[in-house]
Amino acid sequence: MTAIAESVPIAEFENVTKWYGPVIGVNDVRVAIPSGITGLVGTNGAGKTTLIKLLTGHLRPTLGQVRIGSHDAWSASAKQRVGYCPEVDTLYEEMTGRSFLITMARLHGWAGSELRDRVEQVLQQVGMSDRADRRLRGCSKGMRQRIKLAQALVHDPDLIVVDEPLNGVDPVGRLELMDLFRALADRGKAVLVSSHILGEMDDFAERVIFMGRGRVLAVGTLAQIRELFADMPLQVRVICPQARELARELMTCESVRGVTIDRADELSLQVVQAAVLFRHLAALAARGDFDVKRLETTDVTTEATFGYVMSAAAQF
Amino acid sequence: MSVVDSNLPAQQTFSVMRTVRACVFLFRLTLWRQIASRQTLVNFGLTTLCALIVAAWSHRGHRTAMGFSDYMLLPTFIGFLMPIFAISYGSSTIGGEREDQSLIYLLVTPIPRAAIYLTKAIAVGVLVALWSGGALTLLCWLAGEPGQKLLLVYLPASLLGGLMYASVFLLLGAMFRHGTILSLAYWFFLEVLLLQMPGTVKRITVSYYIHCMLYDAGSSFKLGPRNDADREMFAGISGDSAAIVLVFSILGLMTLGSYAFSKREYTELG
Amino acid sequence: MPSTLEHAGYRPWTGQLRSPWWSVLAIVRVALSLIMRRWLFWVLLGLGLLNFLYHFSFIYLKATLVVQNREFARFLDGFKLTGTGDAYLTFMHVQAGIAALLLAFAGSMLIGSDSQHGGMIFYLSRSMDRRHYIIGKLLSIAAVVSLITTVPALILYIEYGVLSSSFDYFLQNWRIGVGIVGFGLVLATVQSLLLFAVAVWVPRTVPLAMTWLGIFVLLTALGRALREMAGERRWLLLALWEDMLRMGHWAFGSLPTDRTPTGTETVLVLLGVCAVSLALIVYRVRAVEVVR
Repeated sequence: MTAIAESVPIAEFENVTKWYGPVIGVNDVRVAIPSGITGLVGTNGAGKTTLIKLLTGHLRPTLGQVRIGSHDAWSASAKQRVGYCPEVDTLYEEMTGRSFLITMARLHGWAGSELRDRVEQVLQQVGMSDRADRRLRGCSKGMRQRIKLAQALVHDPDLIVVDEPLNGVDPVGRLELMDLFRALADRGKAVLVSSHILGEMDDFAERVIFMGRGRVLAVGTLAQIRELFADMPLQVRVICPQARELARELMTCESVRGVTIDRADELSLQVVQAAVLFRHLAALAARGDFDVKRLETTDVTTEATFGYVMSAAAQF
Repeated sequence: MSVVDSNLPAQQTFSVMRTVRACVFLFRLTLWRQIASRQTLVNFGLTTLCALIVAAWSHRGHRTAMGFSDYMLLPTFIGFLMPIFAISYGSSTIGGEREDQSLIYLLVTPIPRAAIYLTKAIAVGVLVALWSGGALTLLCWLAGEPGQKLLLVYLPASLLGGLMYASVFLLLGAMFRHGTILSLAYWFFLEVLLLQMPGTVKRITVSYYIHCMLYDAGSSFKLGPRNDADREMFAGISGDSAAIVLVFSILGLMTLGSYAFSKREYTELG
Repeated sequence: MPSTLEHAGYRPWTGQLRSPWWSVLAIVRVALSLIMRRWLFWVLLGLGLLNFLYHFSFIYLKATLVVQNREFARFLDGFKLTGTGDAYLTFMHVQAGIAALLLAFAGSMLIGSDSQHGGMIFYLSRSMDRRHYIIGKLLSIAAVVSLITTVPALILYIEYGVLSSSFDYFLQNWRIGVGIVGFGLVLATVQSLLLFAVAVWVPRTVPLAMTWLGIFVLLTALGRALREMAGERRWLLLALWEDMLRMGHWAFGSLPTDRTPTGTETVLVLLGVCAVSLALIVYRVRAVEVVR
C-alpha cells in the first residue's frame, strides 16, 4: 500500500528485515525517505524505533540493506550525512549547552572559525543562544530537547532523524521547532519525525509512514493514503447559511451516502466519491443558489487516517 | 528507485585529516571526562589510604626491600591498587557511557567505530599508566630507601600490568552490559583462584606474568618464592618472556576489542 | 461521570489497606526477582558455590571412606575441612569474600540504580515511608549474603550430620548450628548496612565497586600496618573483615578471651559502623530531591 515519493530519496530501505533473536523488529520494509518532512507513526512495538536505529546505523539489518545516499547506513561515511536526535534524555551532563555542541561538531571533524560560526548558527536556530552557557545538568526538559536537536543539526546533515522532538517543549517552543523543521525541509533536507502525538503530524508532516507489527502499512501524503480507502465514506463539513435547503439538494447527489445537520449553518456529509460531490457543489455555488462559506474534509488527519490504516491492517 | 548522492559541500567531505582531527579530540575528551569523574576521586582516596599504610610501615625498625615488596607492594599495590586503577578507567570508559546511554553520541559520529575504540583504549592506557606510575613512585618514596631500590624493579611490570588489565576491562566493558562486575569477577575471583593453582593453568592470568617480571627483575633483592616447593608451584618464566607475552596480549586485545566494537550492536541505546 | 467510569470497569476501592510493613516483603520480592533475572547473578552465584561444591564432595568422600577405610579417614581428618566449628567458620569467611563481589553487583542494581534512575521516588510515592523502603532493601541484600554464606554452611552442617552413623553429631555439635546462624547474621547485617550506605552515596557501578572493595581490602592493610607501627593491637579493629571474623569466632564459641581486641571492643566497633551507615542511609533516602 505504497503511495509515491516525489523527489530523489536521501535514504532508502531495501527489503529490510531485522530479527532480535526470535522476535522480529521490522519485516521486509521497503521505503524511501526523500527531502521534506516525513512523519513516522505507529503503535508501541510497531517497529518505529528499530526503523530509526537501522537508519542511524545503530543496528544492522538481518536481511536487506539500508542506504544513506550511496553508503550503507552502518558505515562511518553515511553518518556524516545523518543527524540523530534520540528520545532518551541523556547528554554530557557536566557540559554546558554550547560546549556540548562544540564537542559534537569537533567529533564530526569541524574546527576553527567554521565550527564556532556553525555552533552559534545552530544555537540561534533552536532558540538557545542566550541560554547556551547553562550546565546541561540543570537545564529544563525543553532546553535539553532543544540542545539534543541542535547536536543533530550541528554538522549540517542531509537527513535529520528526530524521535519525539516536541516532548517537554512548551507551546510557543513547539511552533518554533515546527517552523525550524519546515525551514530545513525548504532547504532540501530530509526530516524524519517519529511521534506518538498524531495531531503534531497534521501541522508539519508532508508525508507519513504508518507502521504496524514491524511492517510499513502505508506511505505517502495523508490525502494520497486516504484515497486508498475509497470504500470508506469521506467526512466532509460544509458551512452554509441555507443548510437545510442544501441538505435536501445534496440528498439527490449519488455520491452522498448520508447527511447530518449539525447546526443551523453546518452540515456533515458522508461521501464516497469526493470529486463528484465537489463538482456538484461548485455548480450549485456558481448558480448562486447557495452561499457556501466553508468546505473541508474532517477525516484527512493523521489520526483518522491512522485509524483507517490500522483497521485495514487488522483484516490481514 | 534510484538513490543519488547530493553534492556535498567541500567542508562536509570527511577526509582522513578530519578523522584524525576528530580522533585527537576524542582522545582529549575521553581523558578530560575520565579525569573529571568520580573514579578519580575514589582513586585519590584509595591511593591516600595506601600511602598511609606505607607511611605506617616505614616507621618499623627493620626495613628491607624484600619486606617492603612482600608485605606492602605485592599485596597492596600489585594486588589491589593497580588493578583498581585499570578497572576504574577501563570499565567506565565504554561501559560507563553505555550505562548512562551517552555512548549514543559517539556512535552517531562519522569516526569509524574501530578508531573510536582504539582512541579510547589509548586514552585509558595513558591514564592507567600515569596513575600506576605515579602511585608507585609515591609509595616507594614514602617507604624510604627500600622503596627507592624497588622503584625501577616494579615500574615496568606495573606499567605493563596496568595496561594489560585496562585492555581486558575495556573489552569487557564494551562487550557486556555489566562489564564492571565481570571485570571484578575476573580480577577478584578468577585471577586469585587460578594463580594459586599448580601447573600451567595460571598462565592465563595477568598477575602471573606480572609476578614473573617482578621476580626476574628483583632477583638481586631475593624477590619471589623462597623455597623449591614454592618455586615449583609457581613455575615461573623469564621476565623478558613475560613482558613479550604482555605486550602481544595488549596489542591482541586492542585489535580484538576494536573489531568486536565495530561489529557490536547496542540495542539498548537511543 | 460516575456511570461512564463504572462502565469502563472502574470501581471504588472497598477493601482494607494492610499495614505498610507488608510492603517490605514486596520490596524484597521485587528486588530478588530483579537480580535473579540477570544471567550475571547466576554466573557469580555459580562461582561462589564452587567452594561449596568442593566441601560438599569432600564430606561425601570422607563419609564413604570412613566406612571403607578408617585409616584413610583419619588422614583426611587432618585437613580440618569439615565437621568442626573452625571448618564452618573458615568456609563462611571465604564465602563472605565471594559475597562481597556479588554485593558489588547487587548494590549497583538494587540501590545505585534506584538513586540514579528515580526508582526510590517510585517506592516512596506509595503509601509507605522510608523506614519500609530501607528495611526492604536491607533485607534484600541480607538475603543475597545469606544465600551464599549461611545457607550453604547450614547445608554442609546437615550433610555432615546425616552422613554420620547417628544423629548424635547434631546433639553434640549444636553450638555449630548456632554459630553458623550467628555468624551469618553478623555478616548479613554489617554487609547490608555498609553496602547500602556506600551505594546510596556512590550509585554508579564503577566507583561503587571500587569504594566497596577498598573498604575491605585497604582498611585491613591499614589496620595491620598501624598495629606494627604503634605496637597496639587495637588498630586491628580498623579491619572490618577481621572484625566480622572475630564475631564469627564469638558466635562459634572459639574467641580467645585474653586477647585484644576483645569481643566487646569488636562489637562496639561494628555497632558504630552500622550506626554511621544507617545515619548515612537515612540522610540520603528522601522522596524529594533538592535541585540547586
